[in-house]
Amino acid sequence: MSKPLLEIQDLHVHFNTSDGVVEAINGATLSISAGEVLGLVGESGSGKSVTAMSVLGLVPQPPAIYPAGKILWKGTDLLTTPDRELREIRGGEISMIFQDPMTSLNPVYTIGHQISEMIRVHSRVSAKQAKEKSIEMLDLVGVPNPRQRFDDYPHQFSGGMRQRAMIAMALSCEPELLIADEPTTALDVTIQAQILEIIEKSARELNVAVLLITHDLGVVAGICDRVAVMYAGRIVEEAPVNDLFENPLMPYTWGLMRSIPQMDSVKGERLYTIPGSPPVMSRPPKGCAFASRCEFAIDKCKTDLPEIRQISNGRTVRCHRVGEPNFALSQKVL
Amino acid sequence: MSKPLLKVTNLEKKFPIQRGLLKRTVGHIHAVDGISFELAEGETLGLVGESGCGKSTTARLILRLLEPTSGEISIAGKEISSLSREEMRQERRNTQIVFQDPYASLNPRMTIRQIVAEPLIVHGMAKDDTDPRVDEMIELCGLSREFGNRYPHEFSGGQRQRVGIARALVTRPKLVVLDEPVSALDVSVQAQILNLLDDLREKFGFSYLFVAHDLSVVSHISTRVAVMYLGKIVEIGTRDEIFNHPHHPYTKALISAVPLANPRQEKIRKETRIVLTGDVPSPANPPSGCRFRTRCWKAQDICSTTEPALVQIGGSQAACHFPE
Repeated sequence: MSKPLLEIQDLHVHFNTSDGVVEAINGATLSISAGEVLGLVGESGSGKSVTAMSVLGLVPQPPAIYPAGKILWKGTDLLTTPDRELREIRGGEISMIFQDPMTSLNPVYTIGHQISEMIRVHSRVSAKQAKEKSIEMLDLVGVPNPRQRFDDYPHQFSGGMRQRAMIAMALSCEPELLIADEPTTALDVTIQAQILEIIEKSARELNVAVLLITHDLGVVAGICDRVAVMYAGRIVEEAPVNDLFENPLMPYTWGLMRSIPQMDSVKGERLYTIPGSPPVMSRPPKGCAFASRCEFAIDKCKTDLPEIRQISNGRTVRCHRVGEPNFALSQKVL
Repeated sequence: MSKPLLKVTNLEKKFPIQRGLLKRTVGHIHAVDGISFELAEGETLGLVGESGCGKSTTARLILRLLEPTSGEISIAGKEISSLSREEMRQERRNTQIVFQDPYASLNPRMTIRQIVAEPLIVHGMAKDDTDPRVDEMIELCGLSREFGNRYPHEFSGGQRQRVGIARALVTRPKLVVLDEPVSALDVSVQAQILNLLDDLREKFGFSYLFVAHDLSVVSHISTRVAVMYLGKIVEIGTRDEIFNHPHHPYTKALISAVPLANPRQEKIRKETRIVLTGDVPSPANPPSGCRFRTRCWKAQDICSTTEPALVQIGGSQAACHFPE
């Protein structure tokens, strides 16, 4: 494997709130190589968005504090990079698309103006060249009649078209990494299929690495090479996509997969449920954060935090019990 | 099939589009445009479609939270669209609704016990919140009875949705309308709620009208499924028939667009995936003839001139000139 582009090492992010310190991220470690599509999955509050925002320095400090950890972008730590340099990287080398394309576009400027502005901030080109480039990008993401639609305002675009415009903007400076935070969650399923196809196609075409953040395991299965599962502020399992779905190791991943209703299942089958709900991060549990909901937990799980262990090539897991001689998750998932 | 509990005939709802200072009506949004279906006792009918297809409007019309423009709704043989306010209020004990957002649908100033007791008090079935049926229902929905004295903000989304379900079911209604009950919840919590709904139906024999956009969830819970597109039902049939042998191109495309949590299968599905082009047209100005024709790969001249009727094809009914 080539040298990773982005390396998040033991990241901790805490928030000072009126209810005390919320420990949103508690030692997240993650890396992504050039041209790779990495899925980051987890439930709400697991810290996946905070991880992504931290990479771009978009988490306001205060209330956030970074007690430990590094975010290495090609070797330099983004957490200590001065704002001026960060601004060059943000949008130029790393760009991001968000869940809600309406709130991330400025309603008083045309779509074309906003894409061109992005291009002109990051490269020395004339207004005319920027316009041509913008039209080319709109065409790439499948906006029909890009030359006419260049002068449209965001409200004249539908949800799916706005998300396309966001992708066009994000890719216009030829970034090396695209962070997509729930890019299709607000969209209908037929539009979701279009957008996922575009993200995948353009990423592969332009050789952009993608960090895809989602709660939908179906989306991950379709376009990712590798998947990291996040729970209560830590990555609990990481694996190539086929391995993860066919043989999840961590009981949380296993439970999560069995609790999704499948379209091709037999009617009347009961869903597996993970008991309880995720821990409150202002009072994080001592040992493994999943222990209180885990049917395989032993005493050690409740007191000692498991370390990240490499199980096989490319597979890591944070669980005491994985690898024990007689330990097996009782049922196959697929 | 047993006798229908709910019978909807030619139901229609138009919302006026008003412009200017004088609020002149300049057009109509045809949210629901002449739909008919039946729901048998003990059955779960899933109503699916993309945003703006009219599925939530249909749910609200059935409870008369919105007044229909025309058409008939009968519940247990009783025509409800002509009932007076007072008669309708009486009738509501038989039809209850669970809403999507468990945060917005519970009064933050009422305790859980007061919330669950309210329908019983409103319908004169209980004097106050000490009625034993209240605590019983709270427990049946998987919450401890000690929670009764707490307020909604003390609970997680999944627990609040349990409260919403307890409130809807406490009067033992015949028909329960569930409007996207799990779409605001995380996967692991969603599974708990779906199982709870299944258990309660088995225990009390409720009939569910389950409105959702997530096809996997609908396929899990429904016995029959109706697919809506721009205010029309384009296909309706048993769950197995709809998912295994879809006849309408839209149903087919919708099912094919759902990503499955199985990477190997997804690689194969991707090759054959039907990716629809374009967006759903505006319901203020729907296409002539078949409404799906602007995005349909099978559309021909007849589709723009003649609107296809719902006809029996195999085990289901579909509205298409060129069914699969």
